[in-house]
Amino acid sequence: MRERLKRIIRKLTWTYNPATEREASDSTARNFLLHWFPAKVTAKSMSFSYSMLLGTIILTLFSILTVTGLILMFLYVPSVERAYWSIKDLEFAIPYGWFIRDLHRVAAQLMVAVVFIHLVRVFLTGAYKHSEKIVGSYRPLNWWIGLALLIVTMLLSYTGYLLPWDQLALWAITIGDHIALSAPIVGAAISKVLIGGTIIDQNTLIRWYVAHVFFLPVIIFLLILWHMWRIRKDGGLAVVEALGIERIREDKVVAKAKTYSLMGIVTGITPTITQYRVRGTAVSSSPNLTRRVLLTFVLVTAAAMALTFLFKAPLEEPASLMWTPNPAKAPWYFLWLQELVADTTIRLKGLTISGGFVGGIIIPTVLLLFAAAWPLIDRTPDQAIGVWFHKSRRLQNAVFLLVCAVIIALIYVGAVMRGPYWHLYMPWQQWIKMPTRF
Amino acid sequence: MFKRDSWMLVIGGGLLFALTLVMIYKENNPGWKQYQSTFAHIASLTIGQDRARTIDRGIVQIYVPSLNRVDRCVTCHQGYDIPGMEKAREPFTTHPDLPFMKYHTFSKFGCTICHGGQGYATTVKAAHGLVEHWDEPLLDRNLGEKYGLEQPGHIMEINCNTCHRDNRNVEWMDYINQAEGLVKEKNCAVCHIINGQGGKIGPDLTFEGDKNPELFDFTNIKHGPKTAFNWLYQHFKDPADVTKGSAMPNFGFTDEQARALTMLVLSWKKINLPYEFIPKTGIARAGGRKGTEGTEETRGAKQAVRSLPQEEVTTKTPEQKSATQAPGAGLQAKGKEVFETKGCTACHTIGKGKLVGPDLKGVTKTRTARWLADWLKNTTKMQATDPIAKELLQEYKVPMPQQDLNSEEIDALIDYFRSKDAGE
Repeated sequence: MRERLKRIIRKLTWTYNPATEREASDSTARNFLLHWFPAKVTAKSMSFSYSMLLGTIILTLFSILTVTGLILMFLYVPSVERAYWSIKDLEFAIPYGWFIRDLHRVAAQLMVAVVFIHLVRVFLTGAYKHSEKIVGSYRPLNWWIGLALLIVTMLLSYTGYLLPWDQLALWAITIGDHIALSAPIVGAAISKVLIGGTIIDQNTLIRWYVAHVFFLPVIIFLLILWHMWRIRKDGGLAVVEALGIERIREDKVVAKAKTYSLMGIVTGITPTITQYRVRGTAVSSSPNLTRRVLLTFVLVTAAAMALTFLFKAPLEEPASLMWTPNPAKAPWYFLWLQELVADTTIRLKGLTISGGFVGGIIIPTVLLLFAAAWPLIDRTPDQAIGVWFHKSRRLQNAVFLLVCAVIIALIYVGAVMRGPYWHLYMPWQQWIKMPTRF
Repeated sequence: MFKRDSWMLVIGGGLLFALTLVMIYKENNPGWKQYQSTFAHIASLTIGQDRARTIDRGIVQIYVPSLNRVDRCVTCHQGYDIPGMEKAREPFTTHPDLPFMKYHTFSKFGCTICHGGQGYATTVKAAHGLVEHWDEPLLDRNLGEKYGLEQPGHIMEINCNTCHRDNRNVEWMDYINQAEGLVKEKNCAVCHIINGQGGKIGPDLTFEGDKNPELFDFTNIKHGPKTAFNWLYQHFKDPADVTKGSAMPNFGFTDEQARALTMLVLSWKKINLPYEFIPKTGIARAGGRKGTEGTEETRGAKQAVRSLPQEEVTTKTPEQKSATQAPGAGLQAKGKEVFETKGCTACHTIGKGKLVGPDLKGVTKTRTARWLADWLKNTTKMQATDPIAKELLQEYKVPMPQQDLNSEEIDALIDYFRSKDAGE
C-alpha cells in the first residue's frame, strides 16, 4: 500500500532523470525542439551570474509577443477608419482584449530593454571576441547578428507603435519621418519609403502593418535561429573558454540500440563514436538545462503578467494631423535620439540648422559602426573572453558604460523632464497645465 | 543549485496560476455588472419580473454605422427605452420623452452624438469622457453647473447646434436661439467671417469650435478653469481685457448672453453627416442645390455657406421694398434702421463717446456729404488714398471694414446723421 502510494506520488511529481549519459544525450538529440541544445553543458554557462539568462528571457518575451500578436491579428483592423476603434473595442468590449493588448505591449517594451541589457552584458564580458583556440569559432559574427537583432527589435517595436493610430502613434512616426527627411540627398527618398507618400495616412499604416506582422517577425525569427546556431558552432557561451575545460577523447563502440540505415547491414565493421568527456564541471542538458529554460519561461511570463496588471497600455485621442500633442514624444527607446535632435539644433540669427541630421542620423550611425567594428579593433588577450570586467578591458568597459549612461540619461531627460513646448522641468516641478475645451 | 531550480519551478508555477486567477477575476468583474444586477432588482419591482427577465444582459450597444458610432451607454443605462422606469434614479431611469425625441430615435442616432461622452467605453469615468485623451465630455448638468448656466442641462445645446447650425429658432434650444439673435443684432459678420461671409477684422469663426484650446492665450484669464469655454466666456464679457488691444468692442453682454454666445461658438464644428441626418431646413434647402458634386461633407459645407447670404436676402427684401414705396419721407427712419442693423453700433455711437471708431456726433459738420458718401461707398480704397481717411486710420488703428451698402442706404444714413446733428 505504501509502496503503491509512493509510486503514485512519484508518477504525479515525475521529473525526468536519465540513468546513463547516453540516455541523457539521446533525449536532447532525438527531440526536435531540444536538438539545438548541446548534450552537456557547464554549470557556469547556465548560471545567472554569468549570462543573466538574458537570451532565454528575450526568447520568452518573443514567444509571448508571437502568441499575443497572432491573437491581436484577428481583432485589429489596419485601416485609418477602423484601427483606433478596434483598439477601443479591445480595451472595453472584447473578452480579455485588454489583457492581450497590455501583455503584448509590456512584453514589447521589456524585449527592447532586455535586448539592450543583453548587448551590454556581452560587451562587458568580452563575449564578442575572436579566439583562435576553437576551430570553426568566430564570435564576432554572432555579435553582428546581435546588432542586427537589436535593430530589428527596435523596428518591430516602432512599427507596432503606429498601429493604434492615435495621437501618440501619429506624432511619434512624424518625428521619425522628420529625422529621415533631414538626411542629405537620400532623405526625401527614405521618407517616401517609410510613409508611402508625402503625408502619413493609410499608405503608411498598411506598410508598417505588413512590416510589423510579417516581414520583421520572419526576419527576426531567422536571425534568432542563426544566433542560436552560431552559439553552438562557437562552442557554447564564451564563458567556457575561460573555464579551460579539458576534454578527454574516448572512442566507444556503439552498442546495438537501433539499426541505422546501411550501417546495420554492413558486416564486420562496428561503427564507433568519438565522445568527449568533459572533466568535472559539465552536466547533462537534459534535464538540467531544459528545466532551467522552463523556469525562465515561467518566471518571465509571470513577471510580464504582473506588469500587465500594473501598467495599462496608453491610447490617446484619434490620430489627427490638425493638432499636435504638447509635448509630442517618440517611443522611449528613441527618446535619447529625439533629445539629441533637440539639443543639436543650432540657431544662428534666424538660420536654423536641423538637429535631425546630427542627432538623429550621424550620432546613432557612428555609434552603430563603432559597435560593429569593435571586435576587429579590440586587441585585449584571449583571457578576457567570457569574464566579467576583465582587468585588461578596464578602459574600454569604462568608455562603453559612459556611452550607455549618457544614452540612459538622455532617455530620462526626454521621458520625464520634457514638458509642454519641450521645456525642461525638474522631476519635482509641476508641468504647466495645458488648456482643454471644457 | 538544480534542486533549487525544481523548487523555484514549483513556486513560479504557483505564481503563474495565481496571476491567471487575477486575470480571470479582473475580466469577470467589470463595474457595469453591478449596475446590471441592481437594475434587474429595481426593474423586477417596478415593471414586474416577467418583463424584467427579458432585458438584455452583458455589454449592450447601439451601433450606428452611418455615424460611425458605437454607444455602449445602454449597458448601464438599461432603462433608457423601457416605459415605466421614469421614477427610477440614474442610471436606470427611462429617457425623458421630450417632444423632439420622435425625430431623434435611439436606433438611428445612438446616444453620444447628442450627449457627448465616449460611446466605446464601458467604465463610468471613461464613458462620461472625464478622462485624459478624450475630447468630448458628457454635456450634462454637472458641466452646465461648472459654468454657471441657469439651465445647466441645456449645455447639451452645443451638440444640438452642431447639426442644427442652419436652422433658426429651434424648439428647446433656448441658449442657441438667444445667441443667434445676438449674432444678428450685433452683426458679428461685419468683422468676422462666419460661414464664408463677413469682414476680416476679427478672426474667421466658421469652425471656432474645432480650435485647439492651446491656441487661446490665457495670460489675462484671471478667473475660472483653463478651458476654451471659459476663455470665450471671459472674452465675450470683456474682449479688450482678455486680448489686449483687441478691436472688438465690449457689447455689455449679460452673463447668460455671454454663456449662450460661448455655446454657439463652440458648436461651430466640422461634422461629417450622411444625407439622411442633415436637418431639414427651409432656408438651406431652398433654391435647389446643384446636386451631386462633391462628397457628403463638402456638400454639407457648401449648403452651410450658402445659407447665410440667402438669409440676408430674405431680410433685405422687405427693407428695399419699403424704401421704394416711401421715398424721402421715411429716409431718416430708414437711415436709423441701417445704422442699427448693419452693425455700425458695434464701433460707433452718436453722442455717447468713441468706441472702436469715432463718435459720429457732428460728423455732418466736420465732413462734407460728398466725402461721407464716398467714404461709405469706397471705405477700403480711401484708407489707402484719402489723406483724411489715412489720418483717421492712424489714430484709431483698426480699419473700418468695407460695407456692402447701396446708394439709397448711404443717402439714408447721411440724412440720419444730419438729422441727429440738426436736432441739437
